[in-house]
Amino acid sequence: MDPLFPINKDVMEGYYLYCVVETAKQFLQGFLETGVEIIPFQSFTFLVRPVDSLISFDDKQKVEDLVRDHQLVSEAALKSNLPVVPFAVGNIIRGGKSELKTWMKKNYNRLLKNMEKIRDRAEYNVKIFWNPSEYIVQLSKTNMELKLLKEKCQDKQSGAAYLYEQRFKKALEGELENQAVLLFQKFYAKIRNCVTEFVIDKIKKEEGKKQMLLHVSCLVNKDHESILGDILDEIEREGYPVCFTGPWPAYSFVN
Amino acid sequence: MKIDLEEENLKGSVLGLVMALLEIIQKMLEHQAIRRMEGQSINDEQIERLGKALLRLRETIDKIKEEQGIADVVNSIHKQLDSLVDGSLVSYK
Repeated sequence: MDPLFPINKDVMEGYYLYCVVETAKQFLQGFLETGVEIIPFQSFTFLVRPVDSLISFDDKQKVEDLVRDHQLVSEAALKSNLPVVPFAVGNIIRGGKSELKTWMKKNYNRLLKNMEKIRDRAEYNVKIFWNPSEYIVQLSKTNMELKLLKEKCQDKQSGAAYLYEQRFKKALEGELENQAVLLFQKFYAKIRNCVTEFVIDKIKKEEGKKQMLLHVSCLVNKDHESILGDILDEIEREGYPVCFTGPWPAYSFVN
Repeated sequence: MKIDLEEENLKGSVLGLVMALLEIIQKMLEHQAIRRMEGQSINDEQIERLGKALLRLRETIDKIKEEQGIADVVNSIHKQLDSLVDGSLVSYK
């Protein structure tokens, strides 16, 4: 099996960047045996790996392995309970240690601002789902317009019945969209108060009964994590399945 | 604006593209018909004639897709077009 990071010691391409931790070097344990180097710079410690080639994104398996490796290292750093600013996957500073230190010096203030932003905070991911079929059953009993349209589908000849069927589907879709928007606003307002910052993520169209209604990454103060958890428990008790994961390195909130 | 078509099956890909565009036109015509029904600007006889024509168009498209085995190609093209629209909306924001 090809190693993820084959090193030809005679050829030095650069340093792969994992993350930067706000601590002195001696507080970070357990990385040396993995080949990850810990390099102190002023008030930070950088987790890097020497590499002898640039990353090719053509090999899908290699890319998956790289992402996994990157996540493992960043999450291990996070377990130290120290502030961690993760780099995006695939960043390499070309050259040797002096080029790396030049880069660190040049970007120190920017990293400092990012560190201030995420200190004592962590990223959590929230997904809330609903079952539109249950709402459709409710609508069929309460919504007069839909009931009338459904009746017309059954009364009419084939051509008119087809158009009334399409009209019924359009009206139903409209009602579902309106309800989805109302629920999104309701849950967003509930979550908003205990979250420092939000990034709204893409909603994946699910097949089957459960559909994603809300998908956000949240930057949360560590002492607000349980409050967010309580709010999400309450939402789940109302009948809306919740997927709540974290803490993650704050990829969505650092520049 | 790039839409991926399979080179090995060019006939199927081109036909799939034509069917996808036909479906979009059919949806637009249906949408227009529904608007007129809601605005009550067409009578029952017109609704019946319009509905029959659109139903026949729908059935013909479905039949061609089934006979030519291009349903997956057409779905794929719709997804690509949806992505293009989503991407344009994001850029516009």
